[in-house]
Amino acid sequence: MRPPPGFTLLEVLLAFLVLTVGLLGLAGTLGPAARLAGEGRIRGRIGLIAASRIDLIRAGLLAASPACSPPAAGSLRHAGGIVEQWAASVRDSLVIVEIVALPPRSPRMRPDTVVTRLRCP
Amino acid sequence: MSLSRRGSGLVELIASLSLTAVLAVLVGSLLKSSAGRLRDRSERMALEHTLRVAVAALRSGLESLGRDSSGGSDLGAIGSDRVVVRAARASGVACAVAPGAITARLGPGWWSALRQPVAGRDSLLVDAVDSAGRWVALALAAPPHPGVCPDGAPALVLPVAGAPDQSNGLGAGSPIRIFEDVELRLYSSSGAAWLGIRSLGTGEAIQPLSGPFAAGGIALGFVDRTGGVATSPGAVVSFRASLAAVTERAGGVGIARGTPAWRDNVTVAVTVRSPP
Repeated sequence: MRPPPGFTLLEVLLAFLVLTVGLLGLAGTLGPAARLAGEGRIRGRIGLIAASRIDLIRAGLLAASPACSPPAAGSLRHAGGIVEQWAASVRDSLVIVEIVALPPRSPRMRPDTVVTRLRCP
Repeated sequence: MSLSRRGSGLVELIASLSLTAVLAVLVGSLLKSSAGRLRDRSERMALEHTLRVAVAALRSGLESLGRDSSGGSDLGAIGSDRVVVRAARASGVACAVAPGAITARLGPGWWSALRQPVAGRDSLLVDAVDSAGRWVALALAAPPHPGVCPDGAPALVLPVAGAPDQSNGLGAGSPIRIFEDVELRLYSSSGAAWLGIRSLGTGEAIQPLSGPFAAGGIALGFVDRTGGVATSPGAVVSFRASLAAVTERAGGVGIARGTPAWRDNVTVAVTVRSPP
């Protein structure tokens, strides 16, 4: 005896299950893309923070000249949760500046460190 | 046994349609929320781009300023949301200097330009050879034209106006900066605020550089050598700039309908190259 033509309910359910899994997988790729975009934003902001800190220290050195006195170490929490820490020391008429930026709580992102040297004015 | 049973029954059809509807609603809501998140991220990236372009423009325009030329400070005017600065358009090295003309050596590493110098719009700052940091300001009197250096190398001849004694101290090896006076300021257009730029030499209308910003979304502060507030352009050592950008999509349509505009802020400090 020939089987009846058409799909059974089980076949239809299986087809939809496969389709759903595929769509869910597609939607899942959006998450990492969004996370990477957010990380890029934080890294960019850290760059601006570090550049500004260096310029602020330069301005402070000019205000203190002719003495070459490095700024005291400090820490500042910025909008968005980025925490900036800086320290400076003098060696051979150069001010060595180290800036560490801690990203907002994100287990995947590690702190960024910038070390630069500024000439005493 | 009857052979009349063909295909699916009505109950099966209704059950499968119901399942289809449930799954469609689930997947649809999931995709909609994902698309919303992605859209929000995209908007935040656009917002970040707006801020970065504005910060880059301010930083490149401000950090190269000095007060070490015969033309006075490179900073022409200051305001809470505007500055007038000498903006670099080209740089090079002189291979010959004579009253009325300065010849700049061409070639990679010698001449770098955003565009060709334009007479009446651009001016020159030329440093003395014998002592660094004594820039002489000269106006570009006529369109530049091709020429050659004393050693036969290709060059660009820059006709300059100014007293001949201004050429004292200048010679082969003098660094050259071509600049024009530009205004950077916040202006309103189409209900939004934008950071714009315009050349003062041409009198052109202001052109958008970055935006949109919140109303009053750019606030500039000026600091003098002592760390106090600078009241004149010649006393400015450092700048503080606070920027507040907004997204462009307030009151959007379709999937963007009804969503609020994002807002983001950044504060930067810029210290000039050669402070007073």
